Amino acid sequence: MQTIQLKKFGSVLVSRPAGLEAFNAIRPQLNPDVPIQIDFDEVLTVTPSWLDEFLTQLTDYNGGKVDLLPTNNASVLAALPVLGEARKDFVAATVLRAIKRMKDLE
Amino acid sequence: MNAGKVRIGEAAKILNVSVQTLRNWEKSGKLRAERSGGKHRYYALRDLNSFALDLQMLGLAWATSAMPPALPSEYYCERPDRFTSRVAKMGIELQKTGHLSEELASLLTLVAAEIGDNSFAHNVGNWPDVPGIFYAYDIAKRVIVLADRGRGVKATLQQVRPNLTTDVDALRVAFTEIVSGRDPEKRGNGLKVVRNVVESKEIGLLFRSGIGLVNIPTGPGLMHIKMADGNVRGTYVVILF
Repeated sequence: MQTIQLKKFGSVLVSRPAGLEAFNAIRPQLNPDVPIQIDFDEVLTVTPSWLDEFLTQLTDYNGGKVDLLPTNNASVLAALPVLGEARKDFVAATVLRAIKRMKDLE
Repeated sequence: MNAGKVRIGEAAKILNVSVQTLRNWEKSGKLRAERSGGKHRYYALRDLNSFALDLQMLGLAWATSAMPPALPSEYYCERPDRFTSRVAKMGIELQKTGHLSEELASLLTLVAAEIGDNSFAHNVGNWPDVPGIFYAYDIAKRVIVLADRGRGVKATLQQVRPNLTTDVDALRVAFTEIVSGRDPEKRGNGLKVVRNVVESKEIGLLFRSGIGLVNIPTGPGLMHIKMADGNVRGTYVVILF
């Protein structure tokens, strides 16, 4: 398992181009055969655009083996249901797994 | 003390400036104070509220005037990177206030960032006259204002929905449907998230484009879309909390 700590990219993550840039920056460190988990710890805000782009790139790269660690981050919790509904692909699967996992923890 | 009036220290807190700044503003005539018994300064809350409206008036002028007005540099983001760094700074300032929850700081930053970023994403290469956005906030006054002189929501969405004919319909689509002005790119979720957040939290939203107007009350409450009195060139947005 590989863990990406989003705080490496800043505490406020805005815009689709920046999400793509973050993926490009971290890709050389990733093994596409190993599942990835994303840690939102110490991040204040992730916008839906940034998250959508980052997850799209990441799940395309490793065939959907991406999971989101449970989080209290309000911006992430707000974006996930819309992303889960809007997408019908690896991103939706990743998001819906995260929502279910967090519900199970409640 | 008379009702509706506050002393200079309280006025400074309301406007998020120092007492000395208020004294300077009084000298320069920027913000007048009254004197009681010739000694203490008093400020009418009504005057302070009018003063607080300045950001909104500036933003509205940017979004509506035929010629772009001169803006203080701190309110103008010509390029997305400047906006991104300023909105990140706002997020940190919101966190540090001590009287706003982490949740509200996170969500206000999301709302402002998503809306401002949309202005750039939807107008890149197509700004009708001046590129960039007006972006100003005052945490003490609990207001964030964004405005652009772009093409507006209707013109953007007409690229993928040619049958859209009114600004009101365009705003309804933008805030309720998963659709992108840059189809076939997989995008167009941001304003839906914004709406969900604003409707469910203590955040108010005024969003105007063309002659369309979206209003969501500051307390939890549902979105209303209607025609506005005047025309906005691109978008004009006020976020209250």
